Amino acid sequence: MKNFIYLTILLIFATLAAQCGPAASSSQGGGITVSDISARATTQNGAVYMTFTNGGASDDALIGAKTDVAKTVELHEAKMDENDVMKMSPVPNIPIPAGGSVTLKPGGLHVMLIGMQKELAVGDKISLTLTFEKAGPMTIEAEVKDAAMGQMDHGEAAPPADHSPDADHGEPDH
Amino acid sequence: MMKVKASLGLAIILIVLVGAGMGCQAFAPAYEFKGSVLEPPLSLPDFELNSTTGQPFRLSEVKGDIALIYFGYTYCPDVCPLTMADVRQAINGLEQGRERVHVIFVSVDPERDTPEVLSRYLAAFDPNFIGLTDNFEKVKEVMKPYGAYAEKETATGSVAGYLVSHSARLFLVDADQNLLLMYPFGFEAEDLRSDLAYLLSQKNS
Repeated sequence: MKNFIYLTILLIFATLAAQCGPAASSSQGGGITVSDISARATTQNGAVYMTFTNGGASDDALIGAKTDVAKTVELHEAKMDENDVMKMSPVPNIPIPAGGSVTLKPGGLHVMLIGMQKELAVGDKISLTLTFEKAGPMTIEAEVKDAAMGQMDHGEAAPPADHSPDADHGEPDH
Repeated sequence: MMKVKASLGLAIILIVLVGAGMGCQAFAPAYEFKGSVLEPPLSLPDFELNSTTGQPFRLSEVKGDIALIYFGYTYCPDVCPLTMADVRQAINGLEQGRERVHVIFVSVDPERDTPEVLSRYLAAFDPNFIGLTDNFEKVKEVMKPYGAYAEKETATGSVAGYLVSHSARLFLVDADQNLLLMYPFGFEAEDLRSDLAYLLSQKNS
């Protein structure tokens, strides 16, 4: 009985602990979940991509962002016109409707880092504070991935398999 | 009646097999390019633009080899770096003939892309990438035969001041200085690698 109580308490703590603190690649706040975060940097500027999911009941919008690694952060959209000409322009905000999701990806919407303060390498982590109209500020971490498109699909590395030695596994009898 | 048809069918099959076996072009399956092929390839004029080395660069300098030409600018955080990274990935995947592929990045933003800025930017991708930065009107003239276009756009509400709209295609110029292939924005690095490997294998060293 005692073990059961301890286990329950442990489980409750674990669940609570899992809710708090920034996760490596996804964060949640005020109904908005940010996931699939990645960044690319050149010697001049950079771009951060991510997906917003609004699980809340009211529409929200990303209205700004800031980071220490760049002088200015703006929201931009790249769009290809009918002549295959790529046009880029700043956008004042990125609306995220209630119950909906918005994906920032290459050739589309992106968080633009202007004026890199330091040269970033693949694997470096950028701390970025996003400001949402309703959800308020949220700090996320973006890892600088290799900029080739195919490689951005690697996503999260799987957690290492648990190799801890157990007592008999108890193979079922055939 | 059936016998004749059967013999004819058999004969045709034999001819195809023998033809393929002999490597006869008419029968062997031809390589299919992954990029958009220009048919016929478009003969390109030579051009001369200042490069980041301080010396002028002429397209004819690389005639006999393959040139990959891209018109972009360093301020662009999204489209241009992605393309350069894909080009690098494609070239790094080549088992041989790398030295016969020349990557040429032509800036459509010479105001910000000074030789120093451009060479630093490109070196982060590959020290062999060639950077050209010259008078904007001159560059726009060079872009015309490729069907490429660039324009400065005021960016209100941005510290950038202005951004540059530009054709985002990658152009492949063959050994005879013809525009042979084009790759749209977002092309797969593997597709480019495959086409390059094929073209390089066609030249007799």
